[in-house]
Amino acid sequence: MGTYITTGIITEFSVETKSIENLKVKSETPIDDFLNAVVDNPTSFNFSATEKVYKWTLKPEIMEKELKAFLEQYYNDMYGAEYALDEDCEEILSFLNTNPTQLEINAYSEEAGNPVFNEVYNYEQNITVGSQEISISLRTITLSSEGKVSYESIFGHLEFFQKSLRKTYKQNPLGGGIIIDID
Amino acid sequence: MGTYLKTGIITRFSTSHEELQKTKIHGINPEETFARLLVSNERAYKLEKIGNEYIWTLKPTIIEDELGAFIKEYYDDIYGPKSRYGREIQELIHFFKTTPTYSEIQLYLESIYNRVFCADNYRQQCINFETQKVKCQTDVILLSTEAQVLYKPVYDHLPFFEKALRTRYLDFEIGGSLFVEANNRKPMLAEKKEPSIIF
Repeated sequence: MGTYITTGIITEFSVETKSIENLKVKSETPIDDFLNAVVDNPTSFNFSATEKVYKWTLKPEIMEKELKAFLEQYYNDMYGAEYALDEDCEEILSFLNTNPTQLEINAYSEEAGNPVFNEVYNYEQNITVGSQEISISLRTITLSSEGKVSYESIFGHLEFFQKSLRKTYKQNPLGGGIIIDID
Repeated sequence: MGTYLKTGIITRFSTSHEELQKTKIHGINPEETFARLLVSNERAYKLEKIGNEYIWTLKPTIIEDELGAFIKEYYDDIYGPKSRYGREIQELIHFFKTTPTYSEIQLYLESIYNRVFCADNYRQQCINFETQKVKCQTDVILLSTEAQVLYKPVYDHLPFFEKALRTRYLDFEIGGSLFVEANNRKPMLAEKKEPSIIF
C-alpha cells in the first residue's frame, strides 16, 4: 500500500555479505543470482566489498556518457514530445550539456530539488532471489512521480511494467536499472 | 480515479463520422489520426464504413496466427511459473495448441470462464485529442486485472507503461494493440464451464 508511484534508475545498491552466504539457490554463484534479481544491467556497475557489505555502484563513465541520451528518450516517452518545453526537463538536460562529471551529476541530483531528476538515498527494499526474500539498500534517481495512488500488490503488475521498461530501454546501459516503486 | 488496473488487447474499435472529424489535421487522413490514438499497429486492423460508423477490426488471420504464441510469452512475463491462474493458463495454452479458428476463439471468449482471457465488449470511451474529447466504442480481450487500485492520472504513468508494453512485444503484430487502463468497470466473466465442452 502506498501513496506515490515513482520511476527512476538505480545508481547504487548493497547487501550484507551474510545475506548472500545464506542464499539457498541451485547455482554455484549465488551472488550472480542476486545481482540478476536486482538489475538487468549488471555490467554497468562497479563492484566493491568489505567484510560485511557487498556494494555495486553505477560506473562513472556510463553516467557521464549515456545519461543525456537516455533521459531524452525517457522524458519523451513519459511526458510526450513537449518534454523539451518542460522547465524541469529542460533544466537537467541543459545541465548535462555542460558535460558534468559523475560527482557533479550526483551533486545536482542531491541538491537541485528537480522532481524529474532527484536522488533518493539509501532506502531499504526487499527483493526475492529464488524463493528467499532479502533486504537490500538502494540509491536511486527519481525520474517521475505521481501522487494519489493507493496500491496493494496482488498480481505484480508493477513488476511486469518494470520488466517491460527495462527491455524497452535495454539498448542503453542505464536501461536495465530502471525501477518502479510505490511508497 | 479507478478501482481495477487492467491490461489487454484492443480487438475492435469504432466511432461515428462526426466524432472522427474531430481528429482532422491538415494533410493527414482523420482515419489514420483516430486509429493512432488507440493503437500503434493500425495496419493490423481492417477498416469498414457501415452507415455512419467507422469500424476497425483486428484481422482474424493475425489473431489466428499470433495470439497463442503471444499470450504464452505475455503470461510468462506477467504471471511467471507459479501463478494462481496456472490452471486457466494451461487450459488456454492447450486450447491454442489445437490451432483454433477465429470463430472458435470468439466462442471460447464468450463461453469459457477464464480470468486471464475474457472479452469485454461495447465499452463506451472518450479519448483526448488536443483540446477535444472523441467518443468511441471498443471491444477488448482482458489479459490481466488487479483490484484495490485507486488511480488519478497526473503525469500519465499508465500510457507510459502502455508504450513500454507495446515496445516490449514489438515482435508480434498484436503487440501494438495492447492497452493499460485503470477504471471501475468490473470484468464480466463467462459462467464457469468445463473447457472440453467447446474444444
